[in-house]
Formats: sequence, C-alpha cells, structure tokens
Amino acid sequence: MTEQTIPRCTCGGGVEPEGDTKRIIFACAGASKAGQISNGAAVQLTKEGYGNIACTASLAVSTPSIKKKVEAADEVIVIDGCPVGCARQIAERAGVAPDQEIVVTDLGIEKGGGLDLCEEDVERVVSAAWEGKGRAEEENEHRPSGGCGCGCACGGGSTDALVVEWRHIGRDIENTCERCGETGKAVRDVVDQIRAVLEDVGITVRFVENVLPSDAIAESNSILFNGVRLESLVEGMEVTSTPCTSCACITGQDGAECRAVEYNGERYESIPPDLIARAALRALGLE
Amino acid sequence: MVLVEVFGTGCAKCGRMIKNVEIAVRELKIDAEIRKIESLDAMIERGVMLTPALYVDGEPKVVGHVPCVEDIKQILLGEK
Repeated sequence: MTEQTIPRCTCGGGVEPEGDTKRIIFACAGASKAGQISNGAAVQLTKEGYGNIACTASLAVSTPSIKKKVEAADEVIVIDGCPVGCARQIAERAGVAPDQEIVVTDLGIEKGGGLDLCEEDVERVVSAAWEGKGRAEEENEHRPSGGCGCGCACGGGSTDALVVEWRHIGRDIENTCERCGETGKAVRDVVDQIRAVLEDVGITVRFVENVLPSDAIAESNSILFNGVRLESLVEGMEVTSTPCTSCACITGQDGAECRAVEYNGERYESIPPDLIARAALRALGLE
Repeated sequence: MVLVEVFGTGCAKCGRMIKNVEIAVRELKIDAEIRKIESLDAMIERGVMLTPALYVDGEPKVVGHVPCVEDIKQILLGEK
C-alpha cells in the first residue's frame, strides 16, 4: 500500500454518512440539462453521505424493494429539473410525501442548453439540498437564513452582513510577506473599528483570512468585501505588481512580484486603512 | 476568541464548508476568527491529509466532509 504524502479532497470521494438521518433521494433525471443536473446532484449527495439515490422509475411502478427503502427512510428528497415536477408527481402517486423538493430551474439554472453538466450547477443543487432549501416555506421560515448558495464567503448577498476576506500567501499574518502583513493588520484594525458601528445598526461584520498556496502569489495581498474585490469598489483604483523581496523568500522565486494598487496618482504596496474602510462602506451601499 | 480554520483546496465543496462556518459563526454571534487555508504546505505541516477539514482552536473537528450549519454550531459551542 502506498502511503499518502499530500492532502487530498473528498470531492466525489466516498465519505462516511453524516448524522443519523436516513434520506432517500429521487431525481427526475429528465432529458434536458436541468434533468441531468438533478441526477448529477443526487449522485453527488450520495457520495457526500447526505442520503442515498434511489430509482425513480422503480417508484413509478412501486416495486417491493423501493417501497421498503422508502419505509426505512427518515426523509424523502425529490430533485426535479423543472417546475413540471415529474419526480414529485411520481412520488405523490406512490403515496410518498417528499420532505424536500428542489427544482433545478428555481435555482437560476436554465432547463436547456445541451446535456453537458457544469460542476458549479451540480454543486448549487447539492448545496440547496444541504441547506434545506427544498423544504416547505413555513418550515423554512423558522430555519436559519444566510448563504448565497454560490459557495463563496459573500455573506449571503445581503446587506445585513459584511464579510471581509483577506487573501495572502505565507502561513499567517506573522509569516507572510511584509506588505501583505501590513495589509492584514490594517484590515483587522478596520474591521474592529467598523464592527462596533455597523453592529449597532444590525449589520454583522466578519473577517476571513484566506491562506493561499505559494503559486497563487498573484492573488496575494488582495481584499474582498462580500465577494467583491477592493479595486472594483474604489473607483479609479488600478491593480499593479512590484518586486517583493520577502515574497521571493517565501516562494523561493527570484524576482517575485507582489500585488499593489494605484489610486489618485499614488502607489500603495500595503493597502491603507482609509481605502479599506471606504470599500467596506461601498460594499454595503453606505457611501 | 475562537480560531476556526478551514482547510481546503478551493473547490466548491470546500467553499461550502467555509460558507457553512460563516453562517454558523454569524448566527451564534460568537467572537471567532475564520481562517481559510488553501496552502498544501500548510496542510502537510498541520497533518491534514483529507479535505475539507475543520479545526477549532487548533483541534481537528471534522475531516473529509462538509458538516451542516447546525453541526458546526454544536462544534463551536463545544457540544460535539
């Protein structure tokens, strides 16, 4: 047996089932892109341990084995490609009431456009299932809210939350390049200052530090506000790069360059607090 | 302050982990610092061989799958 020497992700890999809830998943698997996405999501959810995919065609003809599986399940999840809801109708005719019904097109995914699956679309449906978006509305009213479903840290796209994400190479704030470290300290200071003010008006503020691999140096020293880059929020700001000796040390690449920004005729290798604060307010539509 | 570290290579699955952590921290209103770690070197250094992984105050809590928001809340509250 070969010893594993580098980390691997469980994307698509088998994992242990999560929690004690036994879920059975029926996908319409229709002859459209949305239908195929429904099936892809059911497969992915099964691999992730959320539940077990089952045969919708078997449910349509009420085979004894499918009846047993439904009886043994705590929850029934139906994934339909479109609002016609074939899988839901099949379940209802079999006397099965779904606990959750997810409609792929309700998540902003087009029904047609070929049969090739887009991983991001499948992931969106998988996330919706995990988040319980297919539960009845009255049930969801009492459920925690949040999350945009895009897999980012954007704080749900709402203006009642601000997520400030600082990206850098190096292990942490003490072990990154000098300019990134200064930017990181400035981001933390600004977050601390604006948090007190914004939380008084019901806006939660979170700071997220994203440690990048060394080969992502082009992304290092960047800041995002609810998923939007600083330079997109401050009009007239341009991104550039300049030689960085400490990045050269960290990456082992001679002549390594690190991100900097230009604004109002000035070049900033570490981002000044006032520009960070301005971008934060703009992200919330407050400036 | 609680240090919440999410180890992942930046794929959609790892993205869902960080999003769920964000939601859990926000809804619990706890003082937490969330750190996303995409560096393979940092993962190896910490002994993380399967991602996504969730560490709280340096302790591994979840490895290899994405916990739901409620599970993360229980972890952050020390109930799991």
